[in-house]
Amino acid sequence: MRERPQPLDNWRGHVLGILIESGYVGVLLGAAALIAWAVNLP
Amino acid sequence: MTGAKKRREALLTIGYYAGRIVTGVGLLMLAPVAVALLYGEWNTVVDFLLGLGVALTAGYGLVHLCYAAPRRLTWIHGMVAASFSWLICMVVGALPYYLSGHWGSYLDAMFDVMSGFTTTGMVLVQDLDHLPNGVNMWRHLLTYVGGQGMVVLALTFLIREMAGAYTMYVGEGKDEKLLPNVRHTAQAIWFVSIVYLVVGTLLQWIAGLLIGMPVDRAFFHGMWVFMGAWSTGGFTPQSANILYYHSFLYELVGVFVFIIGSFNFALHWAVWTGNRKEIFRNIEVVSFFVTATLLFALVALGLAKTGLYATPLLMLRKGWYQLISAHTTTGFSTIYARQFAKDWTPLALAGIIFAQLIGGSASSTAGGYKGMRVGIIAKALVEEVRRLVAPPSAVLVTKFHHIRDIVLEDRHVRSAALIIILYTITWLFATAVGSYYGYPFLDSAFEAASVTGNVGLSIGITAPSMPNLLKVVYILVMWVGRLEFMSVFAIAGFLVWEVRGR
Repeated sequence: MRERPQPLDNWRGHVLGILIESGYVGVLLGAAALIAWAVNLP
Repeated sequence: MTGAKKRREALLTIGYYAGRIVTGVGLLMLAPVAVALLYGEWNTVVDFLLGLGVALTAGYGLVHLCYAAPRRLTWIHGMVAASFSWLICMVVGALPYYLSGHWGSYLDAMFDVMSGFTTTGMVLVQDLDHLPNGVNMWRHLLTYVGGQGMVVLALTFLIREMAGAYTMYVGEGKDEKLLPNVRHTAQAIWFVSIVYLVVGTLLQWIAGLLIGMPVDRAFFHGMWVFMGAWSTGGFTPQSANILYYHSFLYELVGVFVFIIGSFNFALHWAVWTGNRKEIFRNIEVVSFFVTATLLFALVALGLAKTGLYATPLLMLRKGWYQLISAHTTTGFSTIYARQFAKDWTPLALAGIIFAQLIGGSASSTAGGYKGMRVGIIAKALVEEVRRLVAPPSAVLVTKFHHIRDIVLEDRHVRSAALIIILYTITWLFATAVGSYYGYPFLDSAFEAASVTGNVGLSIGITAPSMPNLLKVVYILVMWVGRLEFMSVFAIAGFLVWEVRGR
Protein backbone atom coordinates (compact mmCIF):
# COMPACT_ATOMS: atom_id res chain seq x y z
CA MET A 1 0.00 0.00 0.00
CA ARG A 2 1.26 3.48 -0.84
CA GLU A 3 2.35 5.32 2.30
CA ARG A 4 1.03 8.82 2.90
CA PRO A 5 2.56 11.71 4.87
CA GLN A 6 0.83 12.87 8.01
CA PRO A 7 -1.70 15.62 7.31
CA LEU A 8 -0.03 18.98 6.77
CA ASP A 9 -3.19 21.06 7.20
CA ASN A 10 -3.48 20.77 10.99
CA TRP A 11 -2.95 24.50 11.53
CA ARG A 12 -3.97 24.51 15.18
CA GLY A 13 -1.32 21.85 15.85
CA HIS A 14 1.36 23.78 13.98
CA VAL A 15 0.61 27.07 15.80
CA LEU A 16 0.73 25.21 19.11
CA GLY A 17 4.03 23.63 18.01
CA ILE A 18 5.55 27.06 17.27
CA LEU A 19 4.35 28.38 20.65
CA ILE A 20 5.80 25.39 22.53
CA GLU A 21 9.16 25.76 20.77
CA SER A 22 9.17 29.51 21.53
CA GLY A 23 8.33 28.74 25.17
CA TYR A 24 11.48 26.64 25.43
CA VAL A 25 13.57 29.59 24.20
CA GLY A 26 11.87 31.77 26.83
CA VAL A 27 12.89 29.35 29.61
CA LEU A 28 16.49 29.29 28.32
CA LEU A 29 16.52 33.09 28.25
CA GLY A 30 15.19 33.17 31.83
CA ALA A 31 17.99 30.87 33.04
CA ALA A 32 20.57 33.12 31.34
CA ALA A 33 18.99 36.23 32.89
CA LEU A 34 19.41 34.65 36.33
CA ILE A 35 23.11 33.98 35.67
CA ALA A 36 23.66 37.49 34.28
CA TRP A 37 21.98 38.93 37.38
CA ALA A 38 24.03 36.68 39.71
CA VAL A 39 27.45 37.63 38.26
CA ASN A 40 26.50 41.32 38.38
CA LEU A 41 25.60 41.24 42.08
CA PRO A 42 27.68 43.86 43.92
CA MET B 1 29.91 -7.76 -14.95
CA THR B 2 33.52 -6.71 -15.52
CA GLY B 3 35.30 -4.30 -13.16
CA ALA B 4 35.61 -1.63 -15.88
CA LYS B 5 31.89 -1.79 -16.67
CA LYS B 6 31.02 -1.59 -12.96
CA ARG B 7 33.20 1.48 -12.54
CA ARG B 8 31.66 3.14 -15.61
CA GLU B 9 28.13 2.48 -14.33
CA ALA B 10 29.05 3.89 -10.92
CA LEU B 11 30.38 7.08 -12.50
CA LEU B 12 27.23 7.42 -14.63
CA THR B 13 24.94 6.97 -11.60
CA ILE B 14 26.84 9.57 -9.57
CA GLY B 15 26.91 11.97 -12.54
CA TYR B 16 23.18 11.55 -13.16
CA TYR B 17 22.12 12.42 -9.61
CA ALA B 18 24.72 15.19 -9.23
CA GLY B 19 23.34 16.66 -12.48
CA ARG B 20 19.81 16.67 -11.05
CA ILE B 21 21.00 18.45 -7.89
CA VAL B 22 23.01 21.06 -9.85
CA THR B 23 19.95 21.70 -12.05
CA GLY B 24 17.84 22.34 -8.95
CA VAL B 25 20.38 24.79 -7.49
CA GLY B 26 20.69 26.50 -10.90
CA LEU B 27 16.93 27.08 -11.10
CA LEU B 28 17.11 28.90 -7.76
CA MET B 29 18.93 31.71 -9.59
CA LEU B 30 15.54 32.80 -10.93
CA ALA B 31 14.82 34.30 -7.47
CA PRO B 32 17.73 36.80 -7.53
CA VAL B 33 16.86 37.59 -11.17
CA ALA B 34 13.33 38.54 -10.03
CA VAL B 35 14.63 40.73 -7.18
CA ALA B 36 17.18 42.40 -9.47
CA LEU B 37 14.42 43.12 -12.04
CA LEU B 38 12.28 44.64 -9.28
CA TYR B 39 15.05 47.08 -8.39
CA GLY B 40 16.21 47.68 -11.99
CA GLU B 41 19.66 46.18 -11.34
CA TRP B 42 20.34 45.27 -14.97
CA ASN B 43 23.98 44.22 -14.55
CA THR B 44 22.91 41.81 -11.81
CA VAL B 45 20.16 40.40 -14.05
CA VAL B 46 22.75 39.64 -16.76
CA ASP B 47 25.18 38.11 -14.20
CA PHE B 48 22.52 35.73 -12.90
CA LEU B 49 21.19 34.82 -16.35
CA LEU B 50 24.74 33.86 -17.32
CA GLY B 51 25.05 31.87 -14.09
CA LEU B 52 21.70 30.20 -14.75
CA GLY B 53 22.83 29.27 -18.27
CA VAL B 54 26.05 27.70 -16.99
CA ALA B 55 24.26 25.85 -14.16
CA LEU B 56 21.57 24.42 -16.43
CA THR B 57 24.15 23.46 -19.09
CA ALA B 58 26.25 21.69 -16.45
CA GLY B 59 23.25 20.09 -14.73
CA TYR B 60 21.31 18.98 -17.82
CA GLY B 61 24.61 18.09 -19.53
CA LEU B 62 25.46 15.68 -16.72
CA VAL B 63 21.93 14.24 -16.67
CA HIS B 64 21.96 13.60 -20.45
CA LEU B 65 25.53 12.31 -20.53
CA CYS B 66 24.70 9.88 -17.73
CA TYR B 67 21.11 9.08 -18.74
CA ALA B 68 21.91 5.41 -19.27
CA ALA B 69 22.93 5.10 -15.62
CA PRO B 70 21.31 2.46 -13.39
CA ARG B 71 18.89 4.40 -11.12
CA ARG B 72 19.73 2.44 -8.01
CA LEU B 73 22.11 4.05 -5.57
CA THR B 74 24.33 1.97 -3.32
CA TRP B 75 25.56 3.53 -0.08
CA ILE B 76 28.90 4.68 -1.47
CA HIS B 77 27.39 6.04 -4.71
CA GLY B 78 24.70 7.99 -2.84
CA MET B 79 27.24 9.53 -0.50
CA VAL B 80 29.67 10.38 -3.32
CA ALA B 81 26.81 11.92 -5.37
CA ALA B 82 25.82 14.11 -2.38
CA SER B 83 29.30 15.35 -1.53
CA PHE B 84 30.38 15.70 -5.18
CA SER B 85 27.30 17.77 -6.06
CA TRP B 86 28.12 20.19 -3.20
CA LEU B 87 31.49 20.84 -4.89
CA ILE B 88 29.97 21.42 -8.35
CA CYS B 89 27.29 23.67 -6.86
CA MET B 90 30.05 25.70 -5.17
CA VAL B 91 31.86 26.25 -8.49
CA VAL B 92 28.68 27.05 -10.44
CA GLY B 93 27.06 29.17 -7.70
CA ALA B 94 30.14 31.40 -7.46
CA LEU B 95 29.84 32.67 -11.05
CA PRO B 96 27.29 35.47 -10.42
CA TYR B 97 29.27 36.51 -7.34
CA TYR B 98 32.46 36.83 -9.35
CA LEU B 99 30.75 38.67 -12.22
CA SER B 100 29.30 41.22 -9.76
CA GLY B 101 32.82 42.54 -9.10
CA HIS B 102 32.38 42.44 -5.31
CA TRP B 103 34.71 39.49 -4.82
CA GLY B 104 38.48 39.85 -5.32
CA SER B 105 38.97 36.46 -6.98
CA TYR B 106 37.03 33.36 -8.03
CA LEU B 107 38.44 31.61 -4.94
CA ASP B 108 36.91 34.32 -2.72
CA ALA B 109 33.56 33.88 -4.50
CA MET B 110 33.70 30.08 -4.02
CA PHE B 111 34.60 30.60 -0.35
CA ASP B 112 31.44 32.65 0.17
CA VAL B 113 29.29 30.10 -1.69
CA MET B 114 30.62 27.24 0.44
CA SER B 115 30.19 29.42 3.52
CA GLY B 116 26.55 29.94 2.49
CA PHE B 117 25.74 26.34 1.57
CA THR B 118 27.32 24.99 4.75
CA THR B 119 25.47 27.67 6.78
CA THR B 120 28.76 28.97 8.13
CA GLY B 121 28.43 32.69 7.46
CA MET B 122 32.07 33.76 7.03
CA VAL B 123 32.45 36.31 4.23
CA LEU B 124 35.18 37.54 1.89
CA VAL B 125 32.84 39.90 -0.01
CA GLN B 126 34.09 43.45 -0.45
CA ASP B 127 31.87 46.48 0.15
CA LEU B 128 28.99 44.35 1.47
CA ASP B 129 26.99 47.45 2.40
CA HIS B 130 26.61 48.41 -1.27
CA LEU B 131 25.83 44.98 -2.69
CA PRO B 132 22.94 44.85 -5.23
CA ASN B 133 19.68 43.47 -3.82
CA GLY B 134 19.75 40.61 -6.34
CA VAL B 135 23.15 39.41 -5.08
CA ASN B 136 21.95 39.69 -1.48
CA MET B 137 18.94 37.56 -2.38
CA TRP B 138 21.30 34.91 -3.77
CA ARG B 139 23.55 34.99 -0.68
CA HIS B 140 20.66 34.41 1.68
CA LEU B 141 18.86 31.92 -0.53
CA LEU B 142 22.07 29.85 -0.69
CA THR B 143 22.27 29.68 3.07
CA TYR B 144 18.53 28.93 3.43
CA VAL B 145 18.69 26.07 0.92
CA GLY B 146 22.01 24.85 2.33
CA GLY B 147 20.44 24.60 5.78
CA GLN B 148 17.69 22.29 4.60
CA GLY B 149 20.10 20.60 2.20
CA MET B 150 20.45 20.59 -1.57
CA VAL B 151 19.72 16.88 -1.73
CA VAL B 152 16.56 17.53 0.31
CA LEU B 153 15.63 20.19 -2.26
CA ALA B 154 16.24 17.84 -5.19
CA LEU B 155 14.38 14.98 -3.48
CA THR B 156 11.38 17.24 -2.95
CA PHE B 157 11.09 18.67 -6.44
CA LEU B 158 13.28 16.91 -8.97
CA ILE B 159 14.05 13.29 -8.17
CA ARG B 160 11.23 10.79 -8.59
CA GLU B 161 13.20 7.56 -8.46
CA MET B 162 13.37 6.30 -4.91
CA ALA B 163 15.76 3.37 -5.11
CA GLY B 164 18.61 4.28 -2.78
CA ALA B 165 17.63 7.98 -2.48
CA TYR B 166 17.99 7.68 1.30
CA THR B 167 21.76 7.18 0.82
CA MET B 168 22.09 10.67 -0.70
CA TYR B 169 20.00 12.13 2.13
CA VAL B 170 22.36 10.56 4.68
CA GLY B 171 25.34 11.66 2.58
CA GLU B 172 24.28 15.25 3.21
CA GLY B 173 24.66 14.89 6.97
CA LYS B 174 21.07 14.09 7.89
CA ASP B 175 20.15 10.62 9.01
CA GLU B 176 16.62 10.72 10.34
CA LYS B 177 13.45 9.76 8.58
CA LEU B 178 10.59 11.94 9.84
CA LEU B 179 8.27 9.75 7.79
CA PRO B 180 8.81 6.25 6.42
CA ASN B 181 9.36 7.53 2.88
CA VAL B 182 12.47 9.68 2.31
CA ARG B 183 10.68 11.90 -0.23
CA HIS B 184 7.91 12.63 2.27
CA THR B 185 10.61 13.33 4.87
CA ALA B 186 12.16 15.89 2.51
CA GLN B 187 8.73 17.47 1.95
CA ALA B 188 8.10 17.62 5.72
CA ILE B 189 11.47 19.40 6.23
CA TRP B 190 10.52 22.00 3.63
CA PHE B 191 7.03 22.35 5.09
CA VAL B 192 8.38 23.22 8.56
CA SER B 193 10.98 25.58 7.06
CA ILE B 194 8.49 27.42 4.85
CA VAL B 195 5.94 27.89 7.66
CA TYR B 196 8.70 29.38 9.81
CA LEU B 197 9.88 31.46 6.81
CA VAL B 198 6.46 33.12 6.65
CA VAL B 199 6.13 33.63 10.43
CA GLY B 200 9.76 34.70 10.98
CA THR B 201 9.86 37.10 8.00
CA LEU B 202 6.65 38.73 9.20
CA LEU B 203 8.02 39.27 12.73
CA GLN B 204 11.40 40.49 11.50
CA TRP B 205 9.62 42.78 8.99
CA ILE B 206 7.53 44.34 11.79
CA ALA B 207 10.68 44.81 13.90
CA GLY B 208 12.31 46.55 10.90
CA LEU B 209 9.31 48.84 10.38
CA LEU B 210 9.38 49.80 14.08
CA ILE B 211 12.95 51.10 13.73
CA GLY B 212 11.93 53.25 10.78
CA MET B 213 13.08 51.22 7.77
CA PRO B 214 11.16 51.77 4.49
CA VAL B 215 8.52 49.08 3.84
CA ASP B 216 10.31 47.23 1.01
CA ARG B 217 13.73 47.44 2.64
CA ALA B 218 12.31 46.23 5.97
CA PHE B 219 10.67 43.31 4.14
CA PHE B 220 13.78 42.16 2.29
CA HIS B 221 16.04 42.66 5.30
CA GLY B 222 13.48 40.80 7.42
CA MET B 223 13.41 37.86 5.00
CA TRP B 224 17.18 37.75 4.57
CA VAL B 225 17.90 38.02 8.30
CA PHE B 226 15.30 35.28 8.89
CA MET B 227 17.02 33.07 6.29
CA GLY B 228 20.40 33.69 7.96
CA ALA B 229 18.94 32.92 11.39
CA TRP B 230 16.75 29.91 10.57
CA SER B 231 19.48 28.14 8.65
CA THR B 232 21.91 29.04 11.48
CA GLY B 233 23.92 30.62 8.67
CA GLY B 234 24.79 34.07 9.93
CA PHE B 235 24.68 36.08 6.70
CA THR B 236 23.13 39.54 6.96
CA PRO B 237 22.91 42.27 4.31
CA GLN B 238 25.15 44.66 6.28
CA SER B 239 28.83 44.44 7.22
CA ALA B 240 28.07 45.41 10.83
CA ASN B 241 25.89 42.27 11.00
CA ILE B 242 22.99 42.51 13.49
CA LEU B 243 24.69 45.44 15.24
CA TYR B 244 23.62 47.55 12.21
CA TYR B 245 19.98 47.58 13.34
CA HIS B 246 20.63 48.85 16.90
CA SER B 247 17.34 47.29 17.96
CA PHE B 248 16.75 45.03 20.96
CA LEU B 249 13.52 43.73 19.37
CA TYR B 250 15.31 42.89 16.11
CA GLU B 251 17.93 40.94 18.08
CA LEU B 252 15.30 39.19 20.20
CA VAL B 253 13.26 37.96 17.21
CA GLY B 254 16.50 36.67 15.68
CA VAL B 255 17.43 34.76 18.86
CA PHE B 256 14.08 32.95 18.86
CA VAL B 257 14.48 32.05 15.19
CA PHE B 258 18.02 30.73 15.38
CA ILE B 259 17.51 28.68 18.54
CA ILE B 260 14.42 27.04 17.04
CA GLY B 261 16.31 26.69 13.73
CA SER B 262 19.02 24.70 15.50
CA PHE B 263 16.48 22.03 16.59
CA ASN B 264 16.37 18.60 14.98
CA PHE B 265 13.74 18.40 12.22
CA ALA B 266 12.50 15.17 13.84
CA LEU B 267 11.82 17.20 17.01
CA HIS B 268 9.92 19.89 15.06
CA TRP B 269 7.86 17.19 13.38
CA ALA B 270 7.12 15.41 16.67
CA VAL B 271 6.02 18.61 18.43
CA TRP B 272 4.00 19.81 15.45
CA THR B 273 2.18 16.52 15.04
CA GLY B 274 1.03 16.13 18.62
CA ASN B 275 3.98 14.83 20.66
CA ARG B 276 4.14 18.02 22.76
CA LYS B 277 6.16 16.58 25.66
CA GLU B 278 9.05 15.72 23.34
CA ILE B 279 10.53 19.20 23.79
CA PHE B 280 11.07 18.57 27.53
CA ARG B 281 12.42 15.05 27.17
CA ASN B 282 14.51 15.05 24.01
CA ILE B 283 18.19 14.37 24.72
CA GLU B 284 19.33 17.14 22.36
CA VAL B 285 17.11 19.78 23.93
CA VAL B 286 18.25 18.81 27.44
CA SER B 287 21.88 18.69 26.30
CA PHE B 288 21.59 22.15 24.66
CA PHE B 289 19.98 23.62 27.79
CA VAL B 290 22.71 22.25 30.07
CA THR B 291 25.72 23.16 27.89
CA ALA B 292 24.33 26.61 26.97
CA THR B 293 23.71 27.42 30.64
CA LEU B 294 27.11 26.15 31.81
CA LEU B 295 28.99 27.88 28.99
CA PHE B 296 27.13 31.13 29.57
CA ALA B 297 28.22 30.97 33.21
CA LEU B 298 31.82 30.63 31.92
CA VAL B 299 31.43 33.57 29.50
CA ALA B 300 29.67 35.70 32.14
CA LEU B 301 32.44 35.06 34.67
CA GLY B 302 35.06 35.90 32.04
CA LEU B 303 33.30 39.13 31.13
CA ALA B 304 32.43 40.14 34.71
CA LYS B 305 36.17 40.45 35.42
CA THR B 306 36.50 43.13 32.74
CA GLY B 307 33.53 45.21 33.90
CA LEU B 308 32.70 45.62 30.20
CA TYR B 309 28.98 44.98 30.54
CA ALA B 310 27.90 46.56 33.80
CA THR B 311 24.21 45.55 33.93
CA PRO B 312 22.51 42.12 33.60
CA LEU B 313 20.63 43.36 30.51
CA LEU B 314 23.86 44.40 28.77
CA MET B 315 25.45 41.08 29.76
CA LEU B 316 22.52 39.25 28.16
CA ARG B 317 22.48 41.45 25.08
CA LYS B 318 26.19 41.07 24.40
CA GLY B 319 27.46 37.99 26.27
CA TRP B 320 24.50 35.64 25.98
CA TYR B 321 23.74 36.72 22.40
CA GLN B 322 27.24 35.89 21.10
CA LEU B 323 27.28 32.64 23.15
CA ILE B 324 23.93 31.40 21.83
CA SER B 325 24.80 32.54 18.33
CA ALA B 326 27.97 30.41 18.63
CA HIS B 327 26.22 27.44 20.27
CA THR B 328 23.50 27.26 17.62
CA THR B 329 26.29 27.72 15.00
CA THR B 330 24.53 30.79 13.63
CA GLY B 331 27.29 33.40 13.72
CA PHE B 332 25.19 36.55 14.09
CA SER B 333 27.04 39.10 16.17
CA THR B 334 26.24 42.32 17.96
CA ILE B 335 29.87 43.28 18.58
CA TYR B 336 32.70 43.98 16.15
CA ALA B 337 34.97 41.02 15.30
CA ARG B 338 38.10 42.55 16.87
CA GLN B 339 36.23 43.18 20.14
CA PHE B 340 36.53 39.45 20.81
CA ALA B 341 40.31 39.78 20.67
CA LYS B 342 40.65 43.20 22.28
CA ASP B 343 37.91 43.32 24.94
CA TRP B 344 36.97 39.73 25.82
CA THR B 345 39.06 37.68 28.25
CA PRO B 346 40.51 34.24 27.32
CA LEU B 347 37.97 32.61 29.68
CA ALA B 348 35.05 34.18 27.82
CA LEU B 349 36.63 33.25 24.47
CA ALA B 350 37.05 29.65 25.69
CA GLY B 351 33.30 29.55 26.38
CA ILE B 352 32.59 30.71 22.82
CA ILE B 353 35.10 28.22 21.32
CA PHE B 354 33.53 25.26 23.19
CA ALA B 355 30.05 26.43 22.18
CA GLN B 356 31.10 26.63 18.52
CA LEU B 357 32.50 23.12 18.64
CA ILE B 358 29.46 21.57 20.39
CA GLY B 359 26.96 23.18 18.00
CA GLY B 360 23.25 22.48 17.60
CA SER B 361 21.15 19.39 16.95
CA ALA B 362 21.71 16.48 14.57
CA SER B 363 19.52 16.50 11.43
CA SER B 364 19.09 20.25 11.74
CA THR B 365 20.56 23.22 9.93
CA ALA B 366 23.30 23.50 12.58
CA GLY B 367 26.87 22.18 12.63
CA GLY B 368 29.35 21.08 15.31
CA TYR B 369 29.59 17.87 17.38
CA LYS B 370 25.78 18.06 17.83
CA GLY B 371 23.79 17.85 21.06
CA MET B 372 22.86 14.22 20.41
CA ARG B 373 26.49 13.07 20.51
CA VAL B 374 27.37 15.21 23.53
CA GLY B 375 24.31 13.82 25.32
CA ILE B 376 25.23 10.22 24.45
CA ILE B 377 28.81 10.66 25.69
CA ALA B 378 27.51 12.25 28.92
CA LYS B 379 25.09 9.32 29.45
CA ALA B 380 27.90 6.83 28.78
CA LEU B 381 30.11 8.59 31.33
CA VAL B 382 27.38 8.40 33.97
CA GLU B 383 26.88 4.71 33.15
CA GLU B 384 30.61 4.06 33.61
CA VAL B 385 30.57 5.74 37.03
CA ARG B 386 27.47 3.74 38.02
CA ARG B 387 29.25 0.58 36.89
CA LEU B 388 32.20 1.40 39.19
CA VAL B 389 30.04 1.66 42.28
CA ALA B 390 27.55 -1.10 41.43
CA PRO B 391 28.08 -4.75 42.51
CA PRO B 392 29.79 -6.87 39.80
CA SER B 393 26.63 -8.89 39.16
CA ALA B 394 24.45 -5.81 38.55
CA VAL B 395 22.95 -5.36 35.07
CA LEU B 396 22.93 -1.68 34.19
CA VAL B 397 20.64 -0.33 31.50
CA THR B 398 20.91 3.32 30.41
CA LYS B 399 18.36 4.91 28.12
CA PHE B 400 18.21 8.17 26.25
CA HIS B 401 15.16 9.80 24.78
CA HIS B 402 14.96 10.92 21.17
CA ILE B 403 11.38 10.67 19.89
CA ARG B 404 11.25 7.37 21.80
CA ASP B 405 13.27 5.75 24.59
CA ILE B 406 16.41 4.12 23.20
CA VAL B 407 18.67 1.75 25.16
CA LEU B 408 22.23 3.09 25.12
CA GLU B 409 24.47 0.58 23.35
CA ASP B 410 28.20 0.52 22.68
CA ARG B 411 27.62 1.24 18.99
CA HIS B 412 25.92 4.56 19.86
CA VAL B 413 28.85 5.57 22.06
CA ARG B 414 31.46 4.45 19.51
CA SER B 415 29.79 6.31 16.67
CA ALA B 416 29.36 9.51 18.72
CA ALA B 417 32.94 9.36 20.02
CA LEU B 418 34.36 8.78 16.52
CA ILE B 419 32.64 11.82 15.04
CA ILE B 420 33.62 14.00 18.02
CA ILE B 421 37.24 12.88 17.63
CA LEU B 422 37.17 13.61 13.88
CA TYR B 423 35.72 17.09 14.50
CA THR B 424 38.37 17.78 17.12
CA ILE B 425 41.21 16.65 14.83
CA THR B 426 39.82 18.86 12.03
CA TRP B 427 39.63 21.82 14.42
CA LEU B 428 43.22 21.25 15.60
CA PHE B 429 44.40 20.99 11.98
CA ALA B 430 42.71 24.28 10.99
CA THR B 431 44.11 25.91 14.15
CA ALA B 432 47.61 24.71 13.24
CA VAL B 433 47.36 26.12 9.70
CA GLY B 434 46.20 29.50 11.07
CA SER B 435 49.08 29.51 13.57
CA TYR B 436 51.52 28.56 10.77
CA TYR B 437 50.55 31.76 8.95
CA GLY B 438 51.40 33.80 12.05
CA TYR B 439 48.00 34.42 13.60
CA PRO B 440 47.96 34.27 17.45
CA PHE B 441 47.08 30.78 18.73
CA LEU B 442 43.88 31.82 20.50
CA ASP B 443 42.69 33.74 17.43
CA SER B 444 43.48 30.74 15.19
CA ALA B 445 41.66 28.37 17.56
CA PHE B 446 38.60 30.67 17.63
CA GLU B 447 38.42 31.04 13.84
CA ALA B 448 39.10 27.31 13.31
CA ALA B 449 36.28 26.37 15.72
CA SER B 450 34.03 28.72 13.79
CA VAL B 451 34.71 27.07 10.42
CA THR B 452 34.73 23.51 11.82
CA GLY B 453 31.36 23.99 13.53
CA ASN B 454 29.94 25.98 10.54
CA VAL B 455 29.36 28.95 12.85
CA GLY B 456 30.61 32.10 11.13
CA LEU B 457 31.70 34.24 14.09
CA SER B 458 35.04 35.82 13.25
CA ILE B 459 37.80 37.18 15.41
CA GLY B 460 39.19 39.01 12.39
CA ILE B 461 41.25 36.40 10.52
CA THR B 462 38.78 35.80 7.69
CA ALA B 463 39.35 38.67 5.27
CA PRO B 464 40.11 38.97 1.54
CA SER B 465 43.78 39.56 2.42
CA MET B 466 44.23 36.22 4.23
CA PRO B 467 46.54 33.64 2.57
CA ASN B 468 44.96 31.71 -0.31
CA LEU B 469 45.95 28.34 1.16
CA LEU B 470 44.17 29.21 4.39
CA LYS B 471 41.06 30.07 2.35
CA VAL B 472 41.26 26.64 0.66
CA VAL B 473 41.72 24.90 4.03
CA TYR B 474 38.73 26.75 5.49
CA ILE B 475 36.59 25.81 2.42
CA LEU B 476 37.47 22.13 2.89
CA VAL B 477 36.90 22.26 6.64
CA MET B 478 33.46 23.88 6.18
CA TRP B 479 32.53 21.20 3.62
CA VAL B 480 33.80 18.31 5.75
CA GLY B 481 32.15 19.72 8.88
CA ARG B 482 28.76 20.15 7.20
CA LEU B 483 28.69 16.72 5.56
CA GLU B 484 29.96 15.08 8.77
CA PHE B 485 32.97 13.26 7.30
CA MET B 486 31.47 10.01 6.09
CA SER B 487 30.41 11.15 2.61
CA VAL B 488 33.74 12.94 2.16
CA PHE B 489 35.53 9.72 3.14
CA ALA B 490 33.27 7.98 0.61
CA ILE B 491 34.68 10.25 -2.15
CA ALA B 492 38.22 9.31 -1.09
CA GLY B 493 37.31 5.61 -1.02
CA PHE B 494 35.60 5.88 -4.40
CA LEU B 495 38.65 7.57 -5.97
CA VAL B 496 40.92 4.83 -4.62
CA TRP B 497 38.51 2.23 -6.05
CA GLU B 498 38.55 4.02 -9.43
CA VAL B 499 42.34 4.21 -9.56
CA ARG B 500 43.18 0.77 -8.17
CA GLY B 501 40.20 -1.01 -9.67
CA ARG B 502 39.10 -2.55 -6.36
